[in-house]
Amino acid sequence: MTAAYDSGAYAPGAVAQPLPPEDEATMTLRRVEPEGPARSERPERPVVTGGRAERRRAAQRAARARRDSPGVIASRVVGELFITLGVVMLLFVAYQLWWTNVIAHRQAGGTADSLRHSWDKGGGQGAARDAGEFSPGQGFAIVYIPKLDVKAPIAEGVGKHQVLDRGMVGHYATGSLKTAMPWDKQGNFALAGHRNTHGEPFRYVNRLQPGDKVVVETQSTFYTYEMTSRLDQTSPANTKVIDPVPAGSGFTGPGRYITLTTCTPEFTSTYRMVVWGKMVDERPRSKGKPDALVE
Amino acid sequence: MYVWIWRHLPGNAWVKALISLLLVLAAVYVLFQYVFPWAEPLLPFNDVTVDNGMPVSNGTVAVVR
Repeated sequence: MTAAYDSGAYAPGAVAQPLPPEDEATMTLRRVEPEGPARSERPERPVVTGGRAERRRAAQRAARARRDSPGVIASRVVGELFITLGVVMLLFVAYQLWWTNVIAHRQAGGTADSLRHSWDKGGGQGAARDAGEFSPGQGFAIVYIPKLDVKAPIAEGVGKHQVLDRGMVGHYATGSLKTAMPWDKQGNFALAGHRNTHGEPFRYVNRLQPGDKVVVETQSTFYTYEMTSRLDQTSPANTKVIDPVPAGSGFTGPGRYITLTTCTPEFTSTYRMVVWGKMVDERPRSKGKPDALVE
Repeated sequence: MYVWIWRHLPGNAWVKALISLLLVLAAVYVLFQYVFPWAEPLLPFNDVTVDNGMPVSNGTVAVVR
């Protein structure tokens, strides 16, 4: 403390209080008086003079004084819960954007490999078998989009858990949403795939230009489609886009078409994006890969 | 909460730190393996199919069955 403060010239209120004894101009330290009630609230460790029992009682008293009040404990718990919730949300984002892709790529790769394997062993049934023979979730073809570097197995049905979330592309195959197979004489081969997460096979489907090739490989045949048109945004309820002659595609008569549906804008499910193409080539597997897959 | 856990872990500070790390990893594993896959369909993020606007109709759900 400075001498000016001590002399009372600094604060007017200090005049009313008894001034501490004036020091001489010496540099001796003044004795520290206990200040205010705030400081003295915490009891000093009592001077223990008695026996063991008294020491124990004193220790218990001290422990009680150290313990936090219920309000402090409650607010600490609430705070920790909020922090935990935030961390869990961040983990969920990491799960969605990263981990689902890891898992889906692994599963899809395994499915594609086993499909190939079973084809090479030769079931001998050919592609002409009835679509009804495929059970929901069963992979039956592989789709290639060379421009986007996409290779994904196609499975029957568009169930999320069974098909789409495993990194596969789903074929609309049931009920009122039943669509044709590539080997049908005419019709629309309609597929759905994730735009984000779970392997995201259709992530960049908006970059396809008319003329880009989409190849579907089945047990016996490579079917090559050429992209013709795209619908950037439509309602999820607009099922006309997967009709045999899709509405809005520019196709006027029946033919052998392909339709890719995914969600848009990215990371949301507000609308659907649709890409159409028409078949331009059909090539038996025995004759090797189609031109679109040859570098 | 976390203080309470820390206080009840056995061993010295290093052992406690190791055990807490294992506990955190276990929690993350449970979340990624069970909780998030369960919670995901409940959140409206990733619908990619066109259906007739009634998810419970014969559209996509029929396939799930």
